[in-house]
Amino acid sequence: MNLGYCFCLLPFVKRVALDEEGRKKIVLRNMRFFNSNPYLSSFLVGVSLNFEEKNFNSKTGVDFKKLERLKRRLSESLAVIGDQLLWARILPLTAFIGFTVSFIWGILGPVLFFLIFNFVQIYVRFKGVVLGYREGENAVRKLDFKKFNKIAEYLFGFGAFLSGFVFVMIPVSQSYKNMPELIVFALSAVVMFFFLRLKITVPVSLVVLIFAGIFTGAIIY
Amino acid sequence: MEWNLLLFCLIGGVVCVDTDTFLQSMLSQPLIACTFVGLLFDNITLGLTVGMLMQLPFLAEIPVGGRNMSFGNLGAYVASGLAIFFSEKINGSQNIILIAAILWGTAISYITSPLLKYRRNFNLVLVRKADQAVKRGRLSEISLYQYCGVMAAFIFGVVYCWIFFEGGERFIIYVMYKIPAQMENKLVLIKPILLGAGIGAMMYGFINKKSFTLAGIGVVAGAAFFLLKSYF
Repeated sequence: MNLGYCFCLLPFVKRVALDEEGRKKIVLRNMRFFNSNPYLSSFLVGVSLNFEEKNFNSKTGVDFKKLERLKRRLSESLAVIGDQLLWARILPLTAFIGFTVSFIWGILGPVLFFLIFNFVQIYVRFKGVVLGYREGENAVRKLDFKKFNKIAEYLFGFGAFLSGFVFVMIPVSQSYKNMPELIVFALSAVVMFFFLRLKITVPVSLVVLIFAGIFTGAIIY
Repeated sequence: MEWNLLLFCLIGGVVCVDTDTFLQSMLSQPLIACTFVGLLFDNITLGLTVGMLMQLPFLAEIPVGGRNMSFGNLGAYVASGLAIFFSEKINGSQNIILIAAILWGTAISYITSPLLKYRRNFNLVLVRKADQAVKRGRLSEISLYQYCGVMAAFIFGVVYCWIFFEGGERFIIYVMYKIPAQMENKLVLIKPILLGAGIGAMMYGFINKKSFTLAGIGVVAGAAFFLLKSYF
């Protein structure tokens, strides 16, 4: 991700460092190994911008070791929180909402999924850059990790509620009048759940379930 | 068809780029990408159906760190293209076409997953080259290598869609030839199975001992909602 990180800083680098040597120094500083969550890493981009600007404006320069330490420490924490919040909660939940809405209002489902997710991710990116840039090295104090965990917990609960709700909604809205369809639906949900718990990959689980469905259908109907 | 296929493959390139290289705006998610294919080729219902059937199961794969993943988004995208293409050509075998397309999309997403390693290695080469360029003082090359990475993902997506769409065509023709038309009515369980699998994947992501009660409340709320709805 370090290449992408530098790419984000480039327009700013051209503004604050007028000579080639100064630009090279900034880029080299930020080209070191970096790995974090793609959405929350914007926060560190903001912090880097703050440090570089301070360095440009001050005569004595700033301590870049501090920035390096901050980046190393925060990139891991932000990766954990970002993955937990955006990949494991917000993405599945918004997709799930889109999926549910598709049952009732068709094409509105994907549109809603796209809009909600992007509203959240753009907000997170924008807020991250602004906060990091404004607060600099103090920005870490503004990050409330407990609040992030609390949000993740609430989203987890909402996801569980929605799973239960949709579990009932699908058979009703698809009008499964035949018992086999209802049983197969419920059974495949349980089987998929256990397949994933047993660390069987999604494609393999799906292929097994599809073949099971073909054989069951051939026997029953 | 050639122009349609070209357009389909070019959008496949965008799907690949959006998956992990640039923006990650979720345009690449099956629910959105497949519906878009449906919109483009005048069969929104089928596009949306494939998207809905393939969206939830693949959400169980979270793209974090260096985890090995299947190409679920591209697989679903190819599946929707195949399903729409064949449903235009052949009438009365909708279930067979749908199953064959989804089976093909799922299988290729898994079989091609080792390719991800090569894509990551290629990206590493670009990073090293960018690093050397900076040391030589050529800053403009950073943007060049960044765009190279995006372009490589785009080309990968285009080629992937083209190869597996062509392969999928042959696979579906083979399946249609082998499976008797009477089987059509016996394949009605596929939709409930895939929808169930999707709910299972969601349950895996959201249900544990702590949240089990909330899922139960969801079931009761759902039942109450639909009972009231049918009553009024």
